[in-house]
Amino acid sequence: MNEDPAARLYRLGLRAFSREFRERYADELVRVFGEARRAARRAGPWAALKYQARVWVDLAVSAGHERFSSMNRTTIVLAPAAVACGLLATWVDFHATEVQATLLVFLVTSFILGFAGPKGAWRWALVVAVWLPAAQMLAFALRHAGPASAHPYWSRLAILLPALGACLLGAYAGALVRLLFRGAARPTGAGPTPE
Amino acid sequence: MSEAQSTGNPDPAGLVPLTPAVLAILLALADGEKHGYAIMQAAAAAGGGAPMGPGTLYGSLDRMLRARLVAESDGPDETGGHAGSRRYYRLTEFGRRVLQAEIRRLEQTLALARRKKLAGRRRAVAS
Repeated sequence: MNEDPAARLYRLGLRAFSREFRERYADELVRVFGEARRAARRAGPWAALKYQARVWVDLAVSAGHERFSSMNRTTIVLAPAAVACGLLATWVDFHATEVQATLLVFLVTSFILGFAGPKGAWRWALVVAVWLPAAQMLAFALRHAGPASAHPYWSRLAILLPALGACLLGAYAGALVRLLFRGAARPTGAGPTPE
Repeated sequence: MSEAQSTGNPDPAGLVPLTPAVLAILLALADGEKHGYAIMQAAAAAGGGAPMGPGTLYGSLDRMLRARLVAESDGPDETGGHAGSRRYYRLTEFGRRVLQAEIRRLEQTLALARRKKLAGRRRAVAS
């Protein structure tokens, strides 16, 4: 494929769209991008600059719209729920004296999310887990946190590992239980049972 | 039986009001099939403003294909460098009915605006 750098960059930007959309329209999008860019360049450097600015804003907005409209109903419900669970765990961590309370919130909320949306359960784990280290770093930056360690930001970022571990454990336990439920329900619903 | 009836499409009035991008694309396709860039140019000419970006164009076309407002077509027989590689789109019968429903709605809005003296009277066009 003989594309100029601008077209190659635009094709790279198309990764913001879902894979299904890209497979269907990427070549057409790059072609139209190139044709419109050539027309803008003929109109002068200012028009070319305006076109570049507009086309990238257009890509960001339309990709966001396409991603949102291609989400299924489970994702639309569970994504904000996962954010709320992450914020709850953060609140508990800032107020509880024992770390076990935070871990329990991570495990229970991720279990529920994994049970509700077993496909791609790691996404719920990630969304729940990121808030605690982010809040810890923000609190340190705003000087609301305790004494600084040698590497204050890295040590707070390292909280992500146990948080993510607990959340992954909870989310995949929930997903597994959901699959077991589904497997248990299947033989009674359909098909002959072996004698 | 019309295309809309045969595919079980809903009432066209249920799809209006249309977004500006969808209205511009339907208007662009009203006089025949076009490829993406031609739709973009025609939509810009109809709208009188800045042309829509490629992302908005194909995002809208994708939704319009699923809503059966437009359909892909073979396009004219080209002999140039783009022959056979471009994707063409045409208005469906259902898409035309939705466009007419939207234009009726806009006419009603304009009539109301005229009654309230917010818009001028239509000037006679010299024939």
